[in-house]
Amino acid sequence: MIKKEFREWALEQIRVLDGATGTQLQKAGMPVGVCPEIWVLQNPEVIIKIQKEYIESGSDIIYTCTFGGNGLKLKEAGVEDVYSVNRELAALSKKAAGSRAFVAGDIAPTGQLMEPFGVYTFEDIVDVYKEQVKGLLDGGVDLFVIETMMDIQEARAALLAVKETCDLPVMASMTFERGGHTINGTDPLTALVTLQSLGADVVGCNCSTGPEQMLEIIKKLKPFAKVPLIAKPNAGMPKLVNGVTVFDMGDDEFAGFVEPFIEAGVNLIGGCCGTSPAYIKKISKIAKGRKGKGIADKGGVLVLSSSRKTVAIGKELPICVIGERINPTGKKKLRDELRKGSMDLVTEYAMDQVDEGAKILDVNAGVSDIDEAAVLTEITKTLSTMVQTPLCLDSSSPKALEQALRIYPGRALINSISGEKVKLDKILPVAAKYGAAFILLPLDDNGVPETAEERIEIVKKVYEIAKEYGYTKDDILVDGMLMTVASNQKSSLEALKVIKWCDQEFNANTVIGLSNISFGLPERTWINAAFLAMAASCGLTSAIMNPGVDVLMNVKRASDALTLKDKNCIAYIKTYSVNNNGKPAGKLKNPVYNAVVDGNREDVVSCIKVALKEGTPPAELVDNYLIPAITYVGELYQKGKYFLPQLIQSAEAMKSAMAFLRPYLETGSAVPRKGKIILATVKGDIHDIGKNIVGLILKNYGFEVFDLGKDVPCDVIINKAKEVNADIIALSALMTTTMEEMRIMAGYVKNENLPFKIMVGGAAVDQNFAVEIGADAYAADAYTAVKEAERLTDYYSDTQ
Amino acid sequence: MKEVKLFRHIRAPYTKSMIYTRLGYLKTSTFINREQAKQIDRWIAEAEIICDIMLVYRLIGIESVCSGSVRFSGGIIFNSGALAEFLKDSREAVLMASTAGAAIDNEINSLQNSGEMAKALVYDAAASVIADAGLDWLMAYLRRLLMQTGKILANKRFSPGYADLELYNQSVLYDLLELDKWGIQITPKYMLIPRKSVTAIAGINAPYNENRRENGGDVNDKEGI
Repeated sequence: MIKKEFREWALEQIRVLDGATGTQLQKAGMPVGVCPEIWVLQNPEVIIKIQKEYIESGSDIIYTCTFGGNGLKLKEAGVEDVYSVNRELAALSKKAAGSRAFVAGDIAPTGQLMEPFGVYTFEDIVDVYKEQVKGLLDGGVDLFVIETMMDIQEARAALLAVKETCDLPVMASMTFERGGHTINGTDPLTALVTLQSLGADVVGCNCSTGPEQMLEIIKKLKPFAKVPLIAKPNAGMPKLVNGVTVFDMGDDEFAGFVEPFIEAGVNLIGGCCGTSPAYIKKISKIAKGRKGKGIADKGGVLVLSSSRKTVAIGKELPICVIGERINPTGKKKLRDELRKGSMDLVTEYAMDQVDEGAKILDVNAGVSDIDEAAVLTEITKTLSTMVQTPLCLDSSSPKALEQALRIYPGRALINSISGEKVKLDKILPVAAKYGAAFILLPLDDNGVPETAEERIEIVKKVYEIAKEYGYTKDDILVDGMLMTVASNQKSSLEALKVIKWCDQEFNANTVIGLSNISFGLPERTWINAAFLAMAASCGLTSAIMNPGVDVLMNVKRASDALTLKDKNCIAYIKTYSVNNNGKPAGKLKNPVYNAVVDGNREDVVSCIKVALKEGTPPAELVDNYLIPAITYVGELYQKGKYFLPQLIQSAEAMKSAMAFLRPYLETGSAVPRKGKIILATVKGDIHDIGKNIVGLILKNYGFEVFDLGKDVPCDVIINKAKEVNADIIALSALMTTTMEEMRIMAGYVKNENLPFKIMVGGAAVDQNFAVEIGADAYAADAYTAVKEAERLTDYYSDTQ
Repeated sequence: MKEVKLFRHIRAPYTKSMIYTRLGYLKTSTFINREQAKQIDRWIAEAEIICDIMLVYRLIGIESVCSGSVRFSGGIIFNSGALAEFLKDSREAVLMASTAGAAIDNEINSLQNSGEMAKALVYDAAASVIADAGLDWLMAYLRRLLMQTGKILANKRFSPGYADLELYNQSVLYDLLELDKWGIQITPKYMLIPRKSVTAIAGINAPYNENRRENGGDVNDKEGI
């Protein structure tokens, strides 16, 4: 069967798949722990009987018993001849099916992880699957099914293995955890986008948790599915009852989900773990002969994916920002880093741009003296795990693009394909093989046409050729072909005409390389911003630009609001509303005070400088602003209005302020010293961040703190306390094995009648323990430590 | 007892809100302005990049479970009533460890030394959650593989230091998982270095079958998980 026929067959009416094989084999006597593939070859009549039962129950497709038939799995069972095992198992299923059902060659996880998580490379895994595919193919399978995939990259490897071996149809099915993602964080929509663009003829999910959750997944997928959808859920979740694994959903309850699945848009339905021919019979009774939903017409939306995220570009969506900064052109530092093979700057640029609002990252590795293919691949690998944002691979090298696309675990965008013969001959086939979307650049071997009309002709021509590779208008972004107005002032208007034509006549999404327009001009941002607004009004749907330029992002957000792409201006309001700044009420309007309350370490010193210049005495800054500010922060923390990072940021701001002011302050006018505290993490304990936080906060509230560090022996602490005439010894311990050191210390201080109060804290410690060991105070957190220290020092003073 | 297996550089999905919760964020009362939230999110993202999750695990048969102890294959005994209760229906267990690596430890120290305590604190909380997410990832991975063989991995796990499973048992897990081979150290007080490392035990339930050894040895030696 050819792919096109299979897709039509799958859409013609609801098709019924088989149910579980493993649990049926166990019921038939297969012991737990044996290799099912080998056991079945030794007991062929069992699988033939099971599969015949499925066909008699209504299965239109049965899966070969080769779930663990890949080389890595079979090797663990001591089997070397992978090809023969798969060929023979496929032949058994063909024998069972005869002409009554199709046989799908079953491919499943290898049980191993590939780089960077495991030892196998992507190509290793492709080769492992190819070996299995060849056996199944020669055993006579009608199609392939890649099922129960937990890792999108492994699913891609299996899909490529089938595609590069034969032209048979292939179904791809992932398994999702209770939270709706694979264990590596791929959501169902992202899996769909990635697998359907890579050439799967049917996509969906199996196994997972049960039909209820899978139904919700199918509902979400249907609007974006360009292929038929598959659902093959478990009969609920497994439980062990009296030593037997049982699934908690019976066949009647299971069958109750068939109608909702059809309504949600499923085209092929079956059962996974815990189901049996009885389940399939009930599914068939409801589903057989029913017309399923066709492919939803979600026209006008281009979707891209990474391994964890899908991004859509469309007329009704806000302008999609494609971050431009990972491009060594004009960036010496980045060029040098790439030459050295360092990815640090690439990662930093990527994170910055994502923070600033980029939804896609353009990556370019076009540096002289380097292997562009190797570097682009390395960038792709690095960013694929570092950020969730899909990538736009910016290269004119077919080799570089093919290498990067092969290992990219999602659907990438290619920048770009034009009407130039070399691009059409070399890059378009590569893009099509990996299902990448592309930017269509309206130029050809004659150069860049001056007029919009000529550019439009090129767009039409390239699109016609791309259609032959299966591309639709939803798979391309037409570039407005922005040139600098410094050399041709009409260029901006011609680009706008192309964008408008795409929006109103051609119905394709558009993109511009925004900064091109201002090249050679002063104050480029104004030109860029003005053009962005103009292009937005003509229907622009995406822009390659620098999201770090506030003016551009502000214009983008405003344009989205004004062109109705930001519905009810929600994003605009969320970004700019002054009522949504989260600041607690009750703040004084003094910048020094505000800087401490806001934890703004960078600004507090400059605010103090301004205040000093205006004549405010240093002591007044401390008494009237800094101390009230840090006190207010403490109150906010106590009330739960601030949480720990905010308390510490304020403390850090206070610390910077005091460090700056110290030389200006006369003796006696600084923060009053409330007492001396020895601070240490006890002997044997290596955790100190909690102790360090307590130290910082205590200092801010006027205590003199002697921090002895971590893993500090008792005698060192006592000696220091004696040396500085300390008021309090504050001890921290995280573990139950180290907190006993506190008991030793408290006992020693008491027995020796030393004049030190003991305060304890840390994850393993509580009030009861503090009382039990005779400590004077227990501090659950840093601010409580301040309050307790104040209490202890007052008590101490009173008793002198 | 099966061989120790290892996964490196795992990017385990984690819940950002768990990091906020760990830092004391209260949904109903804490105010945080946009700039602060952006800053904290950025620190979390940076910490995620620096964390280099390595997972180590080993399947082991359970010979017997008494009221106050569990005896694993090889005669290894954990004295803990709570663990015994936890594993009472299990015939195998998975021993596991997750570490966020030395780099994040070093970075947290370096931030503290340079006075950037807020950033250090966020890195620290993020690394704890991410290391724990590594074990979640491993359990989800094993659960799916085990399900195909009719076995069920427990949803919860048990770590030394909790309930009556004393922390010194961490050294037993340390040895069984051969963590010294993977650059993890254990202190005399049974703390792991890198500090963002965690060990745990989870039970595996399996149907009765004829392959089970009378003395409670490994049930499924050729399964390859």
